[in-house]
Amino acid sequence: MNVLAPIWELSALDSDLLKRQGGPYYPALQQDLDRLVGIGVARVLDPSHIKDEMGRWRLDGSYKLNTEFSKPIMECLKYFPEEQRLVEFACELALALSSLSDNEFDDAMTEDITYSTPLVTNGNRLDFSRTEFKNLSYLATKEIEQRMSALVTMSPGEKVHSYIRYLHMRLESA
Amino acid sequence: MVSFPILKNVIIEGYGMYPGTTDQPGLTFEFKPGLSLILGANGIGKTTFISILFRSLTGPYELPTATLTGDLGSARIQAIRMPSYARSVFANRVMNGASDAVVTLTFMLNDTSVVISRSLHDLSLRQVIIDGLITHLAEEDLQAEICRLAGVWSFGDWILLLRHMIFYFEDRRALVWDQSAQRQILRILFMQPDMSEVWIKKEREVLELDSRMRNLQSAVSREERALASEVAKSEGAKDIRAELETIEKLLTSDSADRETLQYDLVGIEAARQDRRLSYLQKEQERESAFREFENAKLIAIASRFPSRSDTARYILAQLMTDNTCLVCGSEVPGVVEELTQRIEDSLCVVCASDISESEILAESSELADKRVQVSLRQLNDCDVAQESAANALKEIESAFSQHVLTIQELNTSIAKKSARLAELVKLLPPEESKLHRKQAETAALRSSVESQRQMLQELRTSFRSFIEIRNKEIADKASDVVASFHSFARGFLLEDCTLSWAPRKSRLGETGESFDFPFFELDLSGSDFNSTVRRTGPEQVSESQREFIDLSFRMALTSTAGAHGFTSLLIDAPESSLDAVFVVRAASVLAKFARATVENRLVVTSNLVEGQLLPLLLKTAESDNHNFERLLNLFDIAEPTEAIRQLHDEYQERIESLLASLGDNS
Repeated sequence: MNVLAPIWELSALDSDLLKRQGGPYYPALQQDLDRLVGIGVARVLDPSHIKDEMGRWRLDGSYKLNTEFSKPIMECLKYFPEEQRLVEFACELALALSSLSDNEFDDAMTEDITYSTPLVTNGNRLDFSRTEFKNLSYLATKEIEQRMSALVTMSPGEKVHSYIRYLHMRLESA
Repeated sequence: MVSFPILKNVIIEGYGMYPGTTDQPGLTFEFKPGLSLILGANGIGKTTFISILFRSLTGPYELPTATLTGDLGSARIQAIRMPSYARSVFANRVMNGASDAVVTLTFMLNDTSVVISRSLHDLSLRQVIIDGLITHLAEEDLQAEICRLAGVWSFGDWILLLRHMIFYFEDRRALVWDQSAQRQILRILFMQPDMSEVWIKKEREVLELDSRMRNLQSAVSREERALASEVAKSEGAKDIRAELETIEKLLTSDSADRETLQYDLVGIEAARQDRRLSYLQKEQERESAFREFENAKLIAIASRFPSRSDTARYILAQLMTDNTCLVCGSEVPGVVEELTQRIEDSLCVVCASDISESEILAESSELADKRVQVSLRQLNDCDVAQESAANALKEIESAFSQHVLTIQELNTSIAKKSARLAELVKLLPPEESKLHRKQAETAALRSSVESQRQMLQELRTSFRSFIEIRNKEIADKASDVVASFHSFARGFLLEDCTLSWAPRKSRLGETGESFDFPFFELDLSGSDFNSTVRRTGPEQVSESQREFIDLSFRMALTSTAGAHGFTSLLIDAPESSLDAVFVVRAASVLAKFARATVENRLVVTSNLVEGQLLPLLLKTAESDNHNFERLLNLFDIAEPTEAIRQLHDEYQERIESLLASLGDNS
């Protein structure tokens, strides 16, 4: 979401991230998610604890919203233009990612061109807040848009979908 | 520190307006600490009484423009002897010209007792007693002694203090908004007399040289025009003469334009400062409204989250169905009952922690949505206000830049034309020696103007450094003045009213850049504003607000700057601008001021009016006993007007009713 947020003219949610071999992991986001499960807004499927490549433990599982409690919240968010855009973006991204197979989905995070940049090695910080930071993922969507401009004007949703399809092709050719 | 006069008593003898009673002729009144009330009716002599007190303290001297509007510059605060007609102001009100009338005022000044007797015929000095010793001081010596005791530099400053801080005349300047008067008062109050003297001297040096330089410049221009005219009349070099004439005309026009633009620039700069401040305030308000909206939004979203009990019932449903544990399949009715009880007791269904206090939001989503709507409306209003302030600022910035640019262009143009003028005169035929001589003389004069301009610039630079330091010294006291003002204004006004230390640009002389002089500005909330707005003139507030604000400002300054915090304050007819409700507030604040120190003297004159003001003031004045020793009833002492003569019984009835009501209330 951080790297593709500019497509929706949204700011990155987090200013930086620790780059790990197993893909991006946000402890604070995990804690929020745990609380949402605790109060019944989200449900967790197949929860398990797994060790990452550094031998550190983390929680793994699939999550979905419990509509009984989440629906009023999602409805409320639609009242506010900025939050509405965030919801639309999240839905579009989720929809685009759902086109990937389970294996591709797991690999997509590490193969993202921003995350996989060789300029930042595992164990170091990806700092989205620095002015010199180059959001390669976003630049890639702009490049795709540029190449397609003669044929079609792309909506933000189409840009996200095209980028995920590009990731899919990268994964296939890897 | 300045010492304010503390009035002790006054005796007026032989004056036709105050014949007094058979037992006690004339008017004798003792100003006790606290409030004294001078009661009368139109024409009976209330204002005359206050004026006599004032003139006792000033003698036959006055500031030339004390009561006029316009700049109260340093050159105008010199006390000058009043013309004879003005000295006869009290004499003209009585049949016998007040030939034998004498006023004797006793007051304290910096712990020294001063008694001054003056003739009411011409305000001349009869006697001065200082600390019990009869002196033979002449008027000028008395003035010097008063200045020394009061801690002010000049007698002009003393009169200014009396007019702006002690006496509350109808024709007074509203100090909060009067930039020039406030500057002088702040100087007098917060500078030592020797520093005050340096300040005024430096100011006058700048003004005098500015004036001299402008006069000389004007003379040079005249000479240059005459020279051009003579050149035009001469026979030879027609082309040169034609060009000389054209350039001269253009130069005159450019110089006039530059002067007008420079004058306008000061006004534009002041407006620019105001609009900048206004924009910053609007920006701040918008930020606050935005954060409020954000908070309301979060509360609205949070109100959609399941409540603790909703969550608990959901979790319970995940663990138990009927009386069966869904984890192990056992029949455990007791556990279901226990878990249900936990929910009812506001305990966590899983760990039994008390969660009654930790319920995030008890607010309903409907209420939260209303809050969102209200805060969104406020945010939209703030957006509009900020945009409007931004446009206003942009407009004035553009005007300012354009003005500065035009002045720069004119400067360049004038310099080029002057140089060309000099070149052309040199090109004139050699036989026109008279013209050459004149040209040399004019050039010398021009050089003298430039030299004076240079000197003036140096004086200005020196004065700028001087005034910057003085500003800092006064700014050190600013927070005390602001706090004191707030404490008085809060009693008077229901609106948010704050004073800010905000030095203002003002010009000294007709040329050159402006200086930042000490100044307090006023911000006041209003019915059409969410927050306080700067009020730069008395016309931007209501009449009663104006009175309250002016009075609060004086009270704040006297409390902060007085040597002991003691002062006298004499207010003539405050009831005229008050409505029935505000009378109560005014009386309460006046009482607060009267009792603020053990020595404050507050003298209030009032007509015999209906309403609460008189009973409340009387009650304040006579808090200890009911012998009315703080009441000066002019109906008993003064010569009655025709109206009072004819309606005597009616007046008497109302006075008795007023005094009786005081007894009833106590």
